Amino acid sequence: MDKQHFPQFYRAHIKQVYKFLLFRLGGRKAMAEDLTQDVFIKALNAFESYDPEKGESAWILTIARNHLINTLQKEREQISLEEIEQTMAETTGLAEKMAISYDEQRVLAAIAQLPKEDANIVRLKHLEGWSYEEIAKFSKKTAGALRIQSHRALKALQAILKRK
Amino acid sequence: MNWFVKWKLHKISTKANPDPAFVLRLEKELTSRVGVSRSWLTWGRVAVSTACTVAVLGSGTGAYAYTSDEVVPDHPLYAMRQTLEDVEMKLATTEEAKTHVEMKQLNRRIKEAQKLRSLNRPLQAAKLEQMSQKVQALIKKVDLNDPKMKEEVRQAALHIEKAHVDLLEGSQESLKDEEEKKTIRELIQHERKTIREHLQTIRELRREQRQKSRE
Repeated sequence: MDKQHFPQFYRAHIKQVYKFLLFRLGGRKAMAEDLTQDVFIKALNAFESYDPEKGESAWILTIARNHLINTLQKEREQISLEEIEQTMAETTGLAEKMAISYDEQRVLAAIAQLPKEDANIVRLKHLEGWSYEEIAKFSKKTAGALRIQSHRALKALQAILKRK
Repeated sequence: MNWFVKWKLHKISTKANPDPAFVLRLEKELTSRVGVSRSWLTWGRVAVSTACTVAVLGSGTGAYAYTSDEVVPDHPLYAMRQTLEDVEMKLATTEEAKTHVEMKQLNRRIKEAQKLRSLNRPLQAAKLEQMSQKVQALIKKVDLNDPKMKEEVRQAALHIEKAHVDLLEGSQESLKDEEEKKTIRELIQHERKTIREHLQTIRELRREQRQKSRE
């Protein structure tokens, strides 16, 4: 892809990439900004060799995921993305750093109690802002199947919140 | 119905949005690397955001965010401080004013790093190295060998360099990686040598000025 299209690509994905990193860094905004900058610089350097057939979102998300793991492995060796996503369940740090309310904190804690795939779809769609079509490109499911899964996940989330 | 849950998720998602100043700053950096000129819409957004931040500067919250030592990276008001600094740099029209603003902001970065260290959140070696590069670039810009350079600017630049060396020395204990420790030690040696050379230059310049004034 021609580098002249990069600014458009950046504007389309900056919020999603930043949020993806912010939630997995426990709300550390400064670090999220640094990593977001690194991710887009890497993407810019590789932009000419990027194949548009593979999907923009899947491509930038892969770069973000790999960079996140590499950065956190410097702090803690052998950390996996699953362990990183487990930190999203620890909401106290997020609550302080992002100034979220008690209700919102309960919602985040409830997401962590969902089955892994349901939690993932809720985070990607409703917290980070990826569309079903974009999520379909990196999840091996159709957009329709993801819509149904998301609807069921939200119902399960509501049930968890009512229980407490 | 799910509307309550969706509403809460939407609120959390909104709070997680990146700071608009950061988004614009990164866009500016990336477009300069690509060599694309910004559209009128982007310039319009820059103009509006500049006007809004000038208004914030007059407010109490803005003044606190700008001046307080408590406002460090990850503080809720830190993004406001960065925005105000961007505006400050844009308002500096002459080279001298820009250098003055750069020195002020670099001094602030060092103070923030010292505060973070006191809070047990020291900067990583890569960040310290980046800061060293900015200090060195500033020293070259200030050009301490130039006799016309104002004494106070020279002294301020030297003060920044000394504060930076103190910061590097203090940061060594918190680093675990041997490679990073080695990088920091080399930076300290290089900067100490630079400080000695600058002090020598300043003494010689003062001696020349005293001799000229006697003549």
